Amino acid sequence: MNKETIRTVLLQEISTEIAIPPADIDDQASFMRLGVSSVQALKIISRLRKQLDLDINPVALFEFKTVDDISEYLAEEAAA
Amino acid sequence: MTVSQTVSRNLAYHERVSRVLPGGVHYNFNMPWAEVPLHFVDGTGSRLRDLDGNEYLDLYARFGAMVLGHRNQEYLDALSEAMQRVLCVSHCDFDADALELMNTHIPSAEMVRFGLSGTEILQTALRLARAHTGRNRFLRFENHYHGNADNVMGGRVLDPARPVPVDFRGDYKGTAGRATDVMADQSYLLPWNDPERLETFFHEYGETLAAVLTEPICVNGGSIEPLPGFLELLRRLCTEYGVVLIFDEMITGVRLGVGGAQKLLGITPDLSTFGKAIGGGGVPVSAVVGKREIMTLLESKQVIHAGTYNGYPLGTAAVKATFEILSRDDEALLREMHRRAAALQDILTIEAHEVGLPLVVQGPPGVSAFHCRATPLERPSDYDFELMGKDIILATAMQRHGVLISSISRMYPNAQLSSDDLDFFQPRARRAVAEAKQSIDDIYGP
Repeated sequence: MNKETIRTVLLQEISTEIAIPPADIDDQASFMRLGVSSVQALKIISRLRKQLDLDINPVALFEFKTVDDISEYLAEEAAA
Repeated sequence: MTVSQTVSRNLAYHERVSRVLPGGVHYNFNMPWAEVPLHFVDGTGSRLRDLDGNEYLDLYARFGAMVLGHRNQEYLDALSEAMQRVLCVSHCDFDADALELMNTHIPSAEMVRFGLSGTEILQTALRLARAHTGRNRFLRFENHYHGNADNVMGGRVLDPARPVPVDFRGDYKGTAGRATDVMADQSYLLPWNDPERLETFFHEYGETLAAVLTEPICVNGGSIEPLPGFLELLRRLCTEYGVVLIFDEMITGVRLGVGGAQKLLGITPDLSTFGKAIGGGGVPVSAVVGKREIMTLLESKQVIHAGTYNGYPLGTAAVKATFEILSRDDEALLREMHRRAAALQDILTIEAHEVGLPLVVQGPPGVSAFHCRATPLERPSDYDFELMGKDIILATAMQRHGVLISSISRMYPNAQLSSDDLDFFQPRARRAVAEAKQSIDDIYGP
């Protein structure tokens, strides 16, 4: 799975949680700046795990500053 | 207000402080989200009121420090008297009472030194252990917490044959900016409650150890109690190999009794560190206590322990008042606090079972934690992120309904916890577990 596919899935999941269209989400913003709460983050992580079939370390995931960085990290994890 | 509190003033205030205060908070771990902190305006007993006028039952108790309850008049009178008399001197006439009370009640406290924070006093204990043994390394255990210093935070072991902790991406107790190799050069990391691993480790590395650090009850790892014989084995091995056994009683401290967990469990360490609740909840005080033969390294000035506010009058007055209040009538207030805390735990368990949410409360009342699973955790290393996620969901639901829970799912009562507080808790717990069950089912499946 490449970075662009992962980015699309990630933006869709964030969009579902914070009720902003995917196109309006700033992919250079951090999750914290997007206002993702703990429960919303857990939902996003859980859905990503299922959709990407990846064992994701949630803390590692959110160490990245932007949606773009997270997508790149997950693409590397998927390829590993 | 009981449900869906309005927090608009809190949000606005958070915006204001965040312009100057990083993250809008005074402390942080590497958790992957941000919660808007509540800003409180007053408190009485077990209740707090925030900027928006919402009322809460305070089981957060500032990480367990607030053991006497808000606005405890006897405690406030003692602090006021101290403030009126003398504030900023190196020694005052509260010292002897505070020191003797700790010496009387805590089994390992042959001698006592005061500091300010848990992080700082733990490092003093390590320094004493190194000076006493002439060795450098110490052993600590997975998912225990010993403060915010580079050499004791998080980490994981890559090679169990040589169990040195190293940094890893995704460590919520880790940090950027740590001094290079500080953990690997100084320490080992083992799973707790694993007697076989412990014995094998000691046979290989025991003679290189200055100290073993452990919480006597692993509150930070999920309020997990030691398996029968585990601490006895640790005590025996430390004695056999000449290693200083250090109990970190920062949380268990006076919450389980004025003698700490060590008195309750009947195991006497060589050194112990205390903090949080020993100052009653209003002022910071920590203490390292221990065997005379080790503590006299401070008397001979071979070991340095410095700090401008060490032993400050307001702190020693707070320790004196706290130990006097809690030890009175054979610790009557603490016994009552434990009884009510047990009743509160029963309410939560019953309400969870009513809605079909698997839930267990473990650990002694006073330092217990709930977990959204059917059976108690046996080892701190079993407290994985999925379970933490479920516990966080319930804890945040409780907050929305007016009950504050300490991270991640600890419930710290105070000496003023009342039957009214239990009545306040029950309907809120009912709504919170129902809401949490729905979220947990949504995320993890029923």
